[in-house]
Amino acid sequence: MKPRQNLFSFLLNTALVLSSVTLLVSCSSRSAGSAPETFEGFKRVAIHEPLPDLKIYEYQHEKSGLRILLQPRPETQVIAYVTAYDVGSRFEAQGKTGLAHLFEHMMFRGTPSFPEPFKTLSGWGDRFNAYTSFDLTLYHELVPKQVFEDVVKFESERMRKLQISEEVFKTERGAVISERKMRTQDTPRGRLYWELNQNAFDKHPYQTGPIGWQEDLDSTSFQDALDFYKRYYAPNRAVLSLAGDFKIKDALALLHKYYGGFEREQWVEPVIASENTKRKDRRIVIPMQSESVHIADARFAPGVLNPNNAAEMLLCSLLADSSRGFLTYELVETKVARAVSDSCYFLADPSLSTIILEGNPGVSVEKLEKTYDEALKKFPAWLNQDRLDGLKLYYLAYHLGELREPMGLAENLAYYTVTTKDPNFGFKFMDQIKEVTLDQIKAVWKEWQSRAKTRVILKPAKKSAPFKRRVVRK
Amino acid sequence: MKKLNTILNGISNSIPLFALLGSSLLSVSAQAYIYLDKELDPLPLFSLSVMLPVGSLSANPVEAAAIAIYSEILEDGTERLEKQEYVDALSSFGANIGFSVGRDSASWSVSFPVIKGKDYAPLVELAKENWTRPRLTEESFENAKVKLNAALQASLDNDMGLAAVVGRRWMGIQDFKLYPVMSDALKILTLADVKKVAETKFHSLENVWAGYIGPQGYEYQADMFLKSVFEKQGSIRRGEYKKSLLKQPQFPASHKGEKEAIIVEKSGRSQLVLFVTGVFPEFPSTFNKELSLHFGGHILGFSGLGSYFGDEIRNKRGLAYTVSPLQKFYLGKPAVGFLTNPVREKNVEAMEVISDLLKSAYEESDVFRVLPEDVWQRQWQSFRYGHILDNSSVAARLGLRRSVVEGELSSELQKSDPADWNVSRDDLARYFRDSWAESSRLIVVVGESKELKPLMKKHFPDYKVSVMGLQDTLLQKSYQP
Repeated sequence: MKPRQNLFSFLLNTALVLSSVTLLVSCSSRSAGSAPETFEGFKRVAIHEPLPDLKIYEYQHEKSGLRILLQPRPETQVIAYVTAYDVGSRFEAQGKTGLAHLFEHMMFRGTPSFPEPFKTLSGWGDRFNAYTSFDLTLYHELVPKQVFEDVVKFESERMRKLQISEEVFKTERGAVISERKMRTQDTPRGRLYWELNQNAFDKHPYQTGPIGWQEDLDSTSFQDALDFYKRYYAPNRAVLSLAGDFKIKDALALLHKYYGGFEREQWVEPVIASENTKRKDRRIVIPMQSESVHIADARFAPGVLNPNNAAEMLLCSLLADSSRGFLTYELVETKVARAVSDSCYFLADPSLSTIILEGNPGVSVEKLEKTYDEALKKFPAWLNQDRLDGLKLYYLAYHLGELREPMGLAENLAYYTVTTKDPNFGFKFMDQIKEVTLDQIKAVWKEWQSRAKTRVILKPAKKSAPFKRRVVRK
Repeated sequence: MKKLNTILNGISNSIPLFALLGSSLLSVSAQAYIYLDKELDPLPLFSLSVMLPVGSLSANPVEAAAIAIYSEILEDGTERLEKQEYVDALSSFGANIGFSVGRDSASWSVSFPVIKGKDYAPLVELAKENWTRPRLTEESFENAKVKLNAALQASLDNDMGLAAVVGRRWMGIQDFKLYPVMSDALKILTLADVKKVAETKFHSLENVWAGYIGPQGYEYQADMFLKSVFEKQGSIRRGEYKKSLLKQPQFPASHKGEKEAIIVEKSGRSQLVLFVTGVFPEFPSTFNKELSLHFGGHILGFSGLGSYFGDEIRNKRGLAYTVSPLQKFYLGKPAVGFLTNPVREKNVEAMEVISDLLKSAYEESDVFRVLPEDVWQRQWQSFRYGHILDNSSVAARLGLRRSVVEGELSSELQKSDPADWNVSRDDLARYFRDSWAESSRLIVVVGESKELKPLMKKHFPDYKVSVMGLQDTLLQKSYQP
C-alpha cells in the first residue's frame, strides 16, 4: 500500500532523519517475515502504513470474525498483547448497571489451563491490566517473548472457555464494591463525573458510569454474568492487537492453534435510546465532604465519527488544557482555581465535552463560577493562529510519545478498531487536527455556546449528600 | 555469582550491562563531566532528559520547600518573559520544558516534535534563559506559595495518598512538591531562601547525566542544549564522574524497634485505608541478603494481585479492591509493606486478616517456608521476567543506565544477570525473621478513631496507637524554626 500523505509529511524530511527511517524499515521488513494473504482460515484484509516506517498487518479469521492487527517490532524482546471487546456500559439496561465492569473482573478468575490468572499473569512478569469504559472493555499484557504461546492460549481460553464459580463471582463483587467506594463515593473527582453523567443524560445508558449502582451490583446474579459472557465475549465482538518481537507467520500459526476452532456468536444490535440534546440548561449543586469546590461544566458533544471532532477537541484544549489552556491563565494564575482541565473525548454516541474546575481551598462556589463565566467572555480575544498552531504540535508530540512503546501502539489500534471499526482512525484524526483552521475553531466555539449545558457543582460540606437515582430510563 | 561493578571506576565496566540492554549507544560528550546516552528512535519526537545530582534526601524542610517553590517558579517564565509570553514562545516549537525534583535526583527535560528545516537555536536560548534567569520575583514567589498551599490542602481529599504521606514521613522519607512540602515550612520561607537553593543546589553542579531519545541526526541538538543550558554558566566544575554526593537518610532514632499505629481522623468514609509497613534496620550487607530482600518483597507484595498479601486480602476474600505493594529499597533502610482499602462494612474481618498476615510474615516468616513449590517457581519466574519488562521501554532503558551511572543502592541487583540469581527459602526466611522482625513497624489507618481504636487494640495489642488530626498531617512537626 502506498503511504498516505499525512501530518508527518511536513516532518522528518531531512536526509539525516530519513536515514534512520530507512534503517528501521529494512530492519522491520527483514525480521517481520512474510505476511501471507491467507493462512489457515485467516485472511489478510489490509496492510496499513500510517507512517512511512510503520506497517500494520490486519487479518480476519473468516469462520469466527475475529479481527487481528499485527505489528512486528523485533528489536523489543517483548510482546504487547491487547484484546478489546466491543462491549462497555453502553449496552447495560437500567437495574443491571455495572455488569460489564464486574465481568471484566471475572475474566481474571480462571480458565481450564490457567485456574488462577492473577498468579499466571504475575508469573509472566506482572505487567497486565484491563479497563471498562462506556464503549469497550480492553485487556492488555506486556510479556517477555518467551511466553508468547502461553499468552495466546490464555487469552483464547478467556474468550470462550472461562471457568468461574458462583463463589468466586461473589468474592470478586466484593472487590468491585470496594473499587466503587474508592473511585466514586469518597473521591470528589469521581463523584463529580458520576453526578455529571447522571444529570446530563435522561435516556441514554451513558447516564450511569461503568462502575454502576451499588444496589445493581448487589442484585446481579451469577446467571446474569454467564449470559453476559456468552453474548458479548465472542470472537466476532473482539479485536486482537499485537505489537512486539514476533514474526507474522509464527503469530498466525499460534492464533490458528488456539482461536481457530471458535465460531461466531449470533449478534443482534441492541436498540439504544438516543438522548434529547436540545433541552434547557441544568445546574445542580451537591454537598460533598471535600476541601474545595469542584465544578464540571459540560456541553453535549458529537459521536466519534463526526467530521468536526478535530476542531471540537482543539477548542476544548485551547479553553481548558491544564498546562496552557486559556482558563488556566484566567483562573489558576489568578489564584481562584487550583486546577483547570478539559475532558473531551468522543464516544460511539453523542456524549459530553467537559471543562473541570477545582477551586482553591476557601474559594466559594459563587466566586469560582462568576470568575469562570466572566473569563469565558474573554476567550475570543485570546484566541489566535499562533496558539492554535502551537496546540497542534503539542497534540502531535503527545501521540508520537504514545506510539513509541509497543503497548501504546497496540492499545491505540485496538481502541479505534473497536470504537470506529478503522485501525487507522487515530492516525487519520491526527491528519484532521493538522487541517483545522482558526475559522473552524471560531465556528465551533459559537455553536458550542448554544448547546444545552449541564453544570454540576460539588460544594464543600461536613457530610456528603447520599447518592440518588435521578430518573429511571425507559 | 556474576556481579558487574558500577561504572564509577571507568566507562568500560558498563559495557556488559549495556550489551544486555540491546542496541542502545553510550557515548561521552566532549566535556568529561557531562554524560550523554543516546537511544535512536524513528519517530520524529525529540526527547532529552537530564538528571542532576540534587535530591530531597539531604534537604531539610525549609530547603525542601524552597526547592519546590523554585521548580514552580521555573514554569513561570523568565526575568524577561511573563508566563503567557514564555508559554507562547515554547508553543511555537510545540516544546515542553519540564523540571522536577525527586528523592535522589532532579530531572530537567525538553521534548518537541521534529519539523523539517526548523531552526531550534531560539528554543535552546529560551531554555537557557529559563534555567539561568528564572522569574525570581516576589510576585512569582508568592504565587508559587499559594499554589503549593492549595495543593497541600486539596491533598487531604485523597485518602490513599494521605495514608501514604503519613507513613512515608514516619519512615523519614521526604519528597518534594505536594505532600511533603510542609505548610509550616512554607510560612517562614523567604525569596532569599529560594535564591540560595537555586545557587547552591542547581547552579553549582559537578555531574550531569543526560539521555536522548529521538531521531538519528538530532543528537547534536541534544549536545547544544546541554552545553548551552548547563555549561555556559561556568559554574559546573570539571571532574571525574562521581556517585551521588547525597547522604543516605536516617530514620528517626525513636522509631527504631517500635510498633506504632496512627489513626488519621476522618469521618464519613465508606472505606478504610491502611498503610502497613515494616522497616529493615539497615541495608543488606551481602548480595545474597539483598536478593533475599528484593525477592521476599516481591513474594509478599510486589507481584501485585499474584502476591501473598494481594491473594489473601483480595483474591480469596474480596475485602478490598487495592492491595498496592510498598517497597522502598533505594533507601539506606529499606521498607516492605502494602497499601489497601477494605470496605467499611468489612473492617472487622479486614483487621483480623491483616493481623494474621502480618504475624505470619513478620513474626514467623512462615510464608517463605510453606509456599508451595509451584508458587515458589512462579514467583521466581515473575521476578526475573519483571526485570526484563521493567527495562524494556526506551525511557526505562535510559533510566536504568542513569541509575548505573549514579551507583544507586538498588542497582547492584539491576546490574546482575537474572540467570545467576539464586536464593533458598531458608535464606529468605532467616533474613526476614532476623532483620524485619526486629525492625520498626507502622500501620496508618484513615477513618474514625472511635470505631478504629478498639479494633486496633484488639488485633494489634502491642502497637502504640495514636490519633492524628487531619490538618496535622500537613505539618512537619520535627522541624524546629
